Amino acid sequence: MLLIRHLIIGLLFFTYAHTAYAAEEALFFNKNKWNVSGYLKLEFAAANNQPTAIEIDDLSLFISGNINRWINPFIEAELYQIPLWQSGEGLQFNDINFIIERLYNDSKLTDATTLRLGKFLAPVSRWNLLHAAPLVWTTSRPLTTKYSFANYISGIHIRHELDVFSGHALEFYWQPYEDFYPKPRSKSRHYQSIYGASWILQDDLDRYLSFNIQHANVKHSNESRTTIGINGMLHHEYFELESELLSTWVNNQPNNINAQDWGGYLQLSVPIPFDLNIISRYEHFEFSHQSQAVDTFLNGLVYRPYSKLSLKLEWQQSWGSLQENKTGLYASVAVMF
Amino acid sequence: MKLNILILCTSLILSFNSWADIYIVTQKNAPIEHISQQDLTAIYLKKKVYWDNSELILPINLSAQSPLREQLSQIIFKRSTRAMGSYWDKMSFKGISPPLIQASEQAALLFIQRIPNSIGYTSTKPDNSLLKVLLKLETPK
Amino acid sequence: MKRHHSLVVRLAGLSTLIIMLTVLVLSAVVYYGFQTKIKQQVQQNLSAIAQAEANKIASIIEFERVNLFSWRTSAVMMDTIVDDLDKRIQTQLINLKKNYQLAGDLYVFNQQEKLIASSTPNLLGQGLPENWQLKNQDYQFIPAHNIKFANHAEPIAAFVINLAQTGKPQQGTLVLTQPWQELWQHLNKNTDYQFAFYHHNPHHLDLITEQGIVHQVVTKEFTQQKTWSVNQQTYLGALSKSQAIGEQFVLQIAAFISENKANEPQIELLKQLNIAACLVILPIMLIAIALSHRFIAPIKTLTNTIHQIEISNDLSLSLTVKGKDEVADLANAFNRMMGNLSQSFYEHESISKEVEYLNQNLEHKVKARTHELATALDQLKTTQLQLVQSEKMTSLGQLVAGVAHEINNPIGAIYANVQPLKDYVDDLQEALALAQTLLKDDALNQFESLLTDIDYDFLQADLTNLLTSQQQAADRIKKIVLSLRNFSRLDQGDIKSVQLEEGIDSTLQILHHEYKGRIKLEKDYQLNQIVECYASELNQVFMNILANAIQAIPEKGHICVSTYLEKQAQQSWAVIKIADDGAGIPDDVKSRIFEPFFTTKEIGKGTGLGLSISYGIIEKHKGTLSVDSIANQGTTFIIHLPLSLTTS
Repeated sequence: MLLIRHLIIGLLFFTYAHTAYAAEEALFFNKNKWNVSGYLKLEFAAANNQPTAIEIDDLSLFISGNINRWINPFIEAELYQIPLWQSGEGLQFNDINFIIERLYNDSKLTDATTLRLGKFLAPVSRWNLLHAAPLVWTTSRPLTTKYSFANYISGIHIRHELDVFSGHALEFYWQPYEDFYPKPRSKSRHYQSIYGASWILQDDLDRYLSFNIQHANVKHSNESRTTIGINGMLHHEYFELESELLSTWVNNQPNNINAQDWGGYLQLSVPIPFDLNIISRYEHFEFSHQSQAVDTFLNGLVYRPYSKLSLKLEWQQSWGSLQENKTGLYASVAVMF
Repeated sequence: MKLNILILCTSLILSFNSWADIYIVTQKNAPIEHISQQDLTAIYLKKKVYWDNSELILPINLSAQSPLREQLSQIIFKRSTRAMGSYWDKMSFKGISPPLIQASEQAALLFIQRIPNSIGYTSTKPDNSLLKVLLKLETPK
Repeated sequence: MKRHHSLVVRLAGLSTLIIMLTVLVLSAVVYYGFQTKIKQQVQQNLSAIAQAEANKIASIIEFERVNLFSWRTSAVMMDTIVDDLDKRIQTQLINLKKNYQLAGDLYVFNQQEKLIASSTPNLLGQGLPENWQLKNQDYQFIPAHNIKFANHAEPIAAFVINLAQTGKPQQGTLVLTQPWQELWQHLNKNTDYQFAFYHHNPHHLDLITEQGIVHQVVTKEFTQQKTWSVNQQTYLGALSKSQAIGEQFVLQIAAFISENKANEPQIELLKQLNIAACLVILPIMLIAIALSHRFIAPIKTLTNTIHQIEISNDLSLSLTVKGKDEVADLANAFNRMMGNLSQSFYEHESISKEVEYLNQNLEHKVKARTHELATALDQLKTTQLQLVQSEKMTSLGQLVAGVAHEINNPIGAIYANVQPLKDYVDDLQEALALAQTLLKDDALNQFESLLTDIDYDFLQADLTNLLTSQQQAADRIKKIVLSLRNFSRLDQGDIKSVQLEEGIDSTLQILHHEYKGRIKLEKDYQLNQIVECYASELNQVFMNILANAIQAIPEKGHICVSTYLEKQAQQSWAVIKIADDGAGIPDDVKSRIFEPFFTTKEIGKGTGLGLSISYGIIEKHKGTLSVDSIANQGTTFIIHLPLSLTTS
């Protein structure tokens, strides 16, 4: 326990020191070849009908290498859901979960085509690809971006860039068997044999637009899920808007009430003086297994003095679901190092 | 605090001068003669990773506080160095590190001189026989 | 006199000598034994110390190497490419020297082996000394050497590390220097031990002294020698295991201690042993003399006493015996002899006394024997009577069985004939009735006067009664015969499995005439289980007790017979209780009722054997027979029987 605490303090100090000094430099190693980085998310959750808790939601370390055009490994290892304190139980530190989040190698087949083998994030939703806490505006994650499809793929991925500058690209991926090192304690489904594609029309500093499809078979059942989605982001000097719309057909008769999960969200973030940002989000999501849909309104405030450090505070108001998107107050500290 | 004052002074000083032109330079024997602004942007976003001869491109940046860098950033990214921070966070998450940094223009030029496949920028046109200019970005005087 | 002295003296002298010899031998053994051990220990200590110091030095060097490796990964080291134009490396070197409080200096050379950054100023531009050049190695440690570079006057050690990733050509060199003196400052300052660096090629020792490092060339066999001669003095020494550091340096520390110092413990031991020996000898001598006196003393006493007896002629004197040794044996033997003598004088007196005593005893014994014989005779009588009784009972039983068997058949015949007789009579009556209706006038008058003569009406009525009473009588005889058979149990003496209640019932049947009309009988049968027993004998018991109960009630009263199952101590018992509310048994009589021949009846009215026989029978079944009684209130006999004879 002491070790982790020291580690956290050290990392925080380190981050602060480095953030102030050199905004983008990664720390160690020959920067030609290796990049080491990581992030930490410390979360405070006060959801209604649940004990207030403080936990380290993510402590992640990633190392990427550029050896040559064929060998470019990447690994992300993470400690997650480490409870620190819970009301009614006091300080606790008895639960650490470890997972290899990503482990893959990129090879440049041609200048425009990259082959990726291993375990990587599914290119379905932009939030999924950039879900690290310091990269997103809110502590809680919209259902649309995670719930109804496979978030991780263990298999093969091909990306073909049509226009480097605008970011126009096509991606195809396939997972032939089961997930590699799936998160054992999460409530999410475990998949086998997934394939999908993503058509990214625009991916630059100001705009993002992509269409995504995925077909996944759920492990240990004859359920299959077919997802299509559209995802976009618009960045302007005075605001940032992002949205996603997604629908998943679920073949799991006779349990289903509806034929599909579907939902969407719209999020607006507005920078205001003193490095603050106001965040507002609305999400609507319907499930295939229940008739009650969930509507979530979220309003939050983010203090982001440097890009690597954000302090978030938000209130989430939710109707229609007890398990997901719980109503309550959430706060988190996210730091990248 | 000190840093902020420094920046303030520097920018004040600079504001008296007109903004300088920016010269994009590389090694004399690099297999490329000219580069478009788009390509330059792509290189400094680490989106364009390989030269045409499949060698790894090594873009060199000046330090984050450098006014020349800030100027370049405004031209090619349309935003400040500081605002680019979140872009590099995202890229870092994907495993892509930002360009190497040298503290001064002379150091940057020396680096480019010695290390093949590197590219960088300077405010004065180099009369060095080992370097050549790929692009000149003119800024409003 | 002369003899005594010489014995004591001889003993004392001999024991002292023996002890002295023993002590000396032991001391010598101890000394020589320990000497080797001490020598070994000293050598081991030396080795351990040498090893510990070597480890210390090695770990210091390792620590510095690790530091260097971590400093190498610092981002600013990339600036060797630009010859540290922005002085970032220099700043860092200065900071490192300050933060880590390095005694030496840090230098960074670029790919062209020119000094581009240093933690001390005014040195830039100098070339990389040849000593410090890495030849395809990643790391090098160069031990004590003098170098012209940077005006290092004293010998220094240098750690040299390559500033690029392995496998790639050098990008530069990082060097950390450390004054050699500073390195071995860490060695143990204990003044007893001295240390030196041992080198193989060529064999020499670098002695570490107050004045600095002193070179001493040694031979190849130097370390194998028992004692080392260093600086004209002899030492005991040991080497640590050699450890390779980098590729040039083999660290091996020699620790040594002067021979005199090493021998100190041995000399100390010798001194101690000598003192101990002296301290021991003197008291031992005194003790030996005292003990000798003590051993001789009993002999003296013995001699004196014998002398006294000689003079006084008193045979009764005896010697006091102390202890259990040979002297004591002698004294004992003497006493015995004296005893024997005096004994023979007094023997004849005691013989006559004994004769008198025996005569007195004889009368006593005769009386006792007679009494025993009488008791035995009584017991025989009892047993005889018991045998007779049981023979009687057996014969009675046989007789009854015989009689019952004989009577059974004729009774059966009588019983069987009653019913047809009834039927015939009915027929005859019918015939007469018919005749009466058919006869006319004279004949009828004659018939009717005949009927009046024989009193036909009365005859008709009485006939039925007669026949019925015959039937009943026959019935009764049958029952009695059955009871008698039950009572006797023709195959008596064998173990049978019976319902005890049947036996009780048949006994009651037999006694029925005794209690009928005056005693109320209550039966409470809850056992209802087959019991393995000598059935006929048990019936005798029931007969005895029930008969007693009936006799105990003079006029009117109650008798209650109950049977039930009792579980006691993991065994099941059949319990039969026979209770009456008669005269009861007084306490003084109660203890004697099971005695044979004991009776409260007048002479000739009872044998006094009934209950004793019953007791014997119950005992045979391994059961218990007991009685509860209060005078003038009633008596209860309680019989416990095991359910089975074979397992009990």
